[in-house]
Amino acid sequence: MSPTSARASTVAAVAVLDLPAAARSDTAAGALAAAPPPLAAEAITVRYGRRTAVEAVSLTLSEGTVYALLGRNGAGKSSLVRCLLGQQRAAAGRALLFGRDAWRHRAALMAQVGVVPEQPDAPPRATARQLARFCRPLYPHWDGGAFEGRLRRFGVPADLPFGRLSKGQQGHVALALALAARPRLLILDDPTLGLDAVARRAFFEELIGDLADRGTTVLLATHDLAAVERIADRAGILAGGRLVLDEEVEGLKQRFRRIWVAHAAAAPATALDAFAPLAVQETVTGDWGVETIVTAYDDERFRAFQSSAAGAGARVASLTLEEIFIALTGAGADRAGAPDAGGSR
Amino acid sequence: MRGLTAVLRHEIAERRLLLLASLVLGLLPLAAPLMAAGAAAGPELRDTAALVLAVTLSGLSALLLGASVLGADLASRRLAFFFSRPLAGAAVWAGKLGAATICAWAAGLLVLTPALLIDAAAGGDEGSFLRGSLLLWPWLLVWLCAVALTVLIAHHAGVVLRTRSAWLVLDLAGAVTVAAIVLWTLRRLQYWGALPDPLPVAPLVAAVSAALGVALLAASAAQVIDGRADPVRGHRTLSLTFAGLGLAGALAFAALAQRWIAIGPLDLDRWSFAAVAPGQTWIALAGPAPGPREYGASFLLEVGSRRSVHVRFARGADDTLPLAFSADGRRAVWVEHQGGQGTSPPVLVSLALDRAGAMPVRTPIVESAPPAKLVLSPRGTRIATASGRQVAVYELDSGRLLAAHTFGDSQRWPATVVFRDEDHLRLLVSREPAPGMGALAVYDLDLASRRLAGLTTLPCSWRRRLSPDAERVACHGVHHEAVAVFDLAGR
Repeated sequence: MSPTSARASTVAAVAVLDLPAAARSDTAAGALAAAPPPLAAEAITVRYGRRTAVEAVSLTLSEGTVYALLGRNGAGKSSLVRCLLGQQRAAAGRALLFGRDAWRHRAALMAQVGVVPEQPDAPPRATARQLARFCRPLYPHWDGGAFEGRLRRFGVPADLPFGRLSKGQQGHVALALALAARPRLLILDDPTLGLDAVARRAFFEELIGDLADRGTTVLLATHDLAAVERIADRAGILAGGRLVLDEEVEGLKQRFRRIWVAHAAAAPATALDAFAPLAVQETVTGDWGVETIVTAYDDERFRAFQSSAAGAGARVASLTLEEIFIALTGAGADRAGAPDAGGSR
Repeated sequence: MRGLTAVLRHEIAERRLLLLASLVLGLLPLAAPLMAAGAAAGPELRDTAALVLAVTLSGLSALLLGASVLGADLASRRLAFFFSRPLAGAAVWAGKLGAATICAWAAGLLVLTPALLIDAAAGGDEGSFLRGSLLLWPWLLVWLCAVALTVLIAHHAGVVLRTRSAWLVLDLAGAVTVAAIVLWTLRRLQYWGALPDPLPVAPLVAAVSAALGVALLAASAAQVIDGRADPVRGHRTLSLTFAGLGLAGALAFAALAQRWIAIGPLDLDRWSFAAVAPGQTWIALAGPAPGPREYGASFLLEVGSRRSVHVRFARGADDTLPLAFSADGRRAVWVEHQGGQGTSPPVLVSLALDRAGAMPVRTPIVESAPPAKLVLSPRGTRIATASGRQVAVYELDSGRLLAAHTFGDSQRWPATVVFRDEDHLRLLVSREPAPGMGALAVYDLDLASRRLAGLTTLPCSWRRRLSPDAERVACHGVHHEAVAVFDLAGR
């Protein structure tokens, strides 16, 4: 896919999502104003022996939010997701789904939750059709037609054992099962891990379609940042088990910027001092000048910076979610110390 | 219930190939009669082959299904599929283990089906062996329970071995501790005569299997319901529940055993034996006690203080309780088995009745079988044992044999022995010189010289009694209705 077509696809996806998002906001402001949030984590801590995998993570998802939970391998995403699903008991804190404790009321709550796991976990000898037959009596709003329709759209044979399907097909079956239950909350744990680009795209297209239709609340733990950027309202970054960032994606992209200053304009040291009001996250210095990623960008501050001697000729560019993620959790962040959402270096 | 049904149906459907294969395997025994030498043995051979195949297949199925139905899913994280659904943990547990058990049962029954159908079609007596075997309800029940227990054991082992977490140490330590407590308690109960020695195998296996089954069932339920899809937490819950229940059960058994053992003489259901010591301060009591069937307890009770000593009177020949008090009432001697009642060698045990707080002391005197009679010398320093045709006299404290004599074949009953003093004994030995003719030979035994001297022979047939000074004998004469008294001093 060319960059142009990719951008067009992104714009189209955002356009599709815009209308239901607005509708969802109206609904939320009305009858459901007092309803408990679909998902809330209250200072969840997970330990494996002496190792702390998740440390006091708190977050709340309001109705209709699409939340991207990002983090490097071993950051604690899957442990957090298992706690949220009531499959694993937190060492401290608790997970609430629709206001009820996920550990205590797991069975009842799962009727409203669709789950797509990191590793497809359906019984390998069962076919997709048999899996649907198994799930049908368990869910009050099971939509068998939608399940069959999705399998057709994905091109997954309904009568082949799950264990003999490709990884992509297994992921598609898992999504079809999750969506056929017409859940109010969808929790996806790195669902596209190991999927090829086509399968990944089909997966997200289907997800976007469902979001557009029903306004489901989604928690999506993933490494697939490009795809997430298209659909997520909010993003959280887990690093070393701590939630180091939890913010609206648009706001995040607004305040994270890359700024270049040529050497000719000022000495590097002088330029770095001048960057301070913009809160520097990462700096690269070369013969050509200084490149920084700032975390407190706004137009007024940037104009003030440009008007200074050190910032003359400075140029600014937006960052993708992936670039922001790398800036916060990558090698640069490691060197700089623990990532900080409002980073000032 | 809807969840349980869904899981059960799904799990059985997943194993439909096993059921189909069982039905096909059931055709194999039909070929067995072809190998039989005679036509008459054919049906029996077929039925035997079907039974053996059914038991083997159901056992193997129970082993494999039990080890994999939950353990494999847990280890591969596939159990999360079920916990991501609106399914109660109990439904997942019961559905999966229930399906494994049903499939193992069904595999066995399906193997039998062709042979049973042939039997039914043949009618008459043919095939009665298989039908008869299936109608033996106790064995059918044993088979069903054994299959279910195998599923549970295999599940436990499967989880433990697949998870291989540090909780394995608790599994091993728990198993060893529980086994040690149970064995120790069983030995104690045997020691005090509450359980027979050797233990009866069938009831013991049934009891252990039932206890094991309950503990495994509870542990597996806790593992799935509380551990959910988390293998380490699951293993921890499984181990803690199993070890906890095992330990609680073993301790409860030990406590119950202690309650049975630590009874007093007044707890006896009734007194089947009582003997009063000279001076009438001590009583020996024995009788059935609360506890296991046929459990009997024995006591020495000091009447004044109500102090009692729980003893283990060994039964002698003719179901007698060999017990002797010294003439001064200061010492009691009886026979106990060294270990379990009835199997270990009997030893003479002595208790100083005149010393407060004294406990029974084993003497060095060990006999090959409990003697029928024990007689203490007047000062309680020597003891005579009469058993069968043999009389022996020992020094009580050292266990030194002072004299022993075996009487001839014509002796009918164990000798009656009376100490005339510490060194001299008088013995009455029944004889039957001719059929229907009774006689009572009287001997004097001198311990210093070890000389046994015949004194006289009296025309007594049965029931004789020697006076305390051993000078007179009362007995039934040749004619049973008459009682004669003989003065041995005057002869």
